[in-house]
Amino acid sequence: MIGENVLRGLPFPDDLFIFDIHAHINQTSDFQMTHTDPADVVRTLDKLGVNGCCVSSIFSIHADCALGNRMMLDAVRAFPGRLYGYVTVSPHDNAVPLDPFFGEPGVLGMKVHAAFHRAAINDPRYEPFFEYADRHSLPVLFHTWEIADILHVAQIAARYRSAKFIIGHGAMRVWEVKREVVDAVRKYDNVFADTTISVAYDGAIEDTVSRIGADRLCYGSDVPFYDCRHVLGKVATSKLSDSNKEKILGLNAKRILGL
Amino acid sequence: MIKLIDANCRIGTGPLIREGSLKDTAQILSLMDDFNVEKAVVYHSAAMYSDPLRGNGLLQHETAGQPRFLRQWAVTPALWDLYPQPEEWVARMSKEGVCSVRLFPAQFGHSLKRYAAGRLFDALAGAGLPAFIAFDQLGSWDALYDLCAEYPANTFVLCSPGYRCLRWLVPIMDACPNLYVETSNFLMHDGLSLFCRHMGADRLLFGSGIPEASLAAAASQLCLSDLAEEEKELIASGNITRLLAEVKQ
Repeated sequence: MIGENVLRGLPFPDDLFIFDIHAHINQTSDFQMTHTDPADVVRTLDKLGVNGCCVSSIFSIHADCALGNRMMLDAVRAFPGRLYGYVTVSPHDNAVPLDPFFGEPGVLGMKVHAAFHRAAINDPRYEPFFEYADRHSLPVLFHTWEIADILHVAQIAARYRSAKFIIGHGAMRVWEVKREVVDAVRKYDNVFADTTISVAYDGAIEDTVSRIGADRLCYGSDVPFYDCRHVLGKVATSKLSDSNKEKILGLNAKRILGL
Repeated sequence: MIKLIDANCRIGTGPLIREGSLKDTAQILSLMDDFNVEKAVVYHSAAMYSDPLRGNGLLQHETAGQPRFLRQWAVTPALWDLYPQPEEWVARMSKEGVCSVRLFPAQFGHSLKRYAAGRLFDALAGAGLPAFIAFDQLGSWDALYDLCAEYPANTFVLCSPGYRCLRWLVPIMDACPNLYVETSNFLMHDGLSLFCRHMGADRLLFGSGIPEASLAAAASQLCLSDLAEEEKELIASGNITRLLAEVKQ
C-alpha cells in the first residue's frame, strides 16, 4: 500500500513513479532558505525515492530573470533525467526568444510568477508567452494565491486551448479559494492543479479529489523553498486509493509534461 | 513505528471553512490512531475565539474521560474580577489536571510585559506550567525575545514558527534556554536535521497544528527526516514528556 513506509521513515519503492511538478533551485534573500543548490535537491529526491522534479530558478523569479534561467539550464544539464526545467517568463521582457530554451532536452514548460514580477496573471504582456505555449502545447505553471489569480488562469485557459495550465498551490486551499480552482478545472480540460502548499488541513486532498477526480492533480512541493516531505507524505498517507495516489504522485505529471 | 505526542492540537470549530476537515474529537482520535499519536496537547477553539473561561470549560467537558488528551487552558492576566487571579487560575488548573497554558496576546489584546502579566508568569513558573504561544500571536520576533528574557524562570513553547524563521529564531534560542519550538510548519528544506546538527534535538517538540494544519504532513516531515532515531524520539515524544513532568500537580 502506498504510504505504508512513510511512518517507518523509509524511501518510496523503486516501482512507484513519483515526480514533483513544482520545485525550484537557488535562494532568495528575504529569508534563510536551506540546501538550495541543484545537488541538494537531487540528494533529497534520492533519499525519498522520488524520480525527478521540474524546477524554476528562484533567482529568475525574485531577481534577474535571464540569469536565473541560465542557472536553470545549468541545473538541467548537470542532472539529466532528474531535474527538468521551467523557463521563468517575465512581463518586463516578453521579447525574449524561447526557441533556444525549448531546444534543450529537459526544458519542459514555463513558470509564471506574476506577483513577484509586479503584474497580474492576465497582464497582456504575458500573451506572447501564452501564444508560444499554445503553439507548442506546452505546460505553464502559475504561482497563484488570491482568488483573482485563479479566475485569471481560467480566462487564459479559455483562450489558449492547446496549452496546459497548472494552478500552482491550488489543490489544498481553504474553500473560498478552492471552489474557484474546482470551477476552473471542471470547466477547462487544459487546467490542472498541484498540491504545493506549506499548511493544509487533514482531509484537504481527499476533498479535492471528490470534486474533480484524480486525473487533474499533480504532486508538487515547492522544494527547496520549503521542504517536500510534508506534502509528499500527506498525499501518500491520504485515504485515496492507490491508483489515485499513483496518478497524483507521478502519472499525471508524465502525461502533462510529456515525460 | 515511532510513537508521537502532538504538542499542538485544537478542538472545536474555528472561523475558516475547511471542507472535509476534522469535525469532532472522535475524528481527531481516529486520526491520531492512524499516525501512532499516543497523546495530544489540546486547547479549545472557543477559548481562543470567544472567551477563555467558557472555552476552557468546554475543553474539560469535551475531553472528559479521555486520557489521550493533555488539556491546555487559555489564560490572560487578571482584570478586576472578570478573570481569576493568577494564583487562583493555577490552583484550578492543578485541580482539573491541566498541564500547560496557551497565550493569545494578539487575539485577546493584552500586554505580556511585567507591568501587566508579571503575576501571571510568576504563578505559572511556580507551578512549572509551560506556556505555549503561536508566532502569529506575538507580532514580532523581538517580542519573543523580550518575553523569554523577561521571564527566565518560565518555560515557553513557540508554536508554528513558519519556514522563514531561521535568521530570527536561532539567535533567540541561543540567548534564551527557556525557549522550545513546536515543529508544525517548521519546514525549511532538510530543516529538522540541519537544526539538530547545530542546536541539538532537545528543544524541538513534535506538533501538528490541527485543525488548520495536518497531522499527516507533520508526521511525514519528522518520520522521513534524516535524523537519527534517538533524535526523532526526543522530538516525537521525549522532550514534551520531560517538560510536562516538571508540572507540579
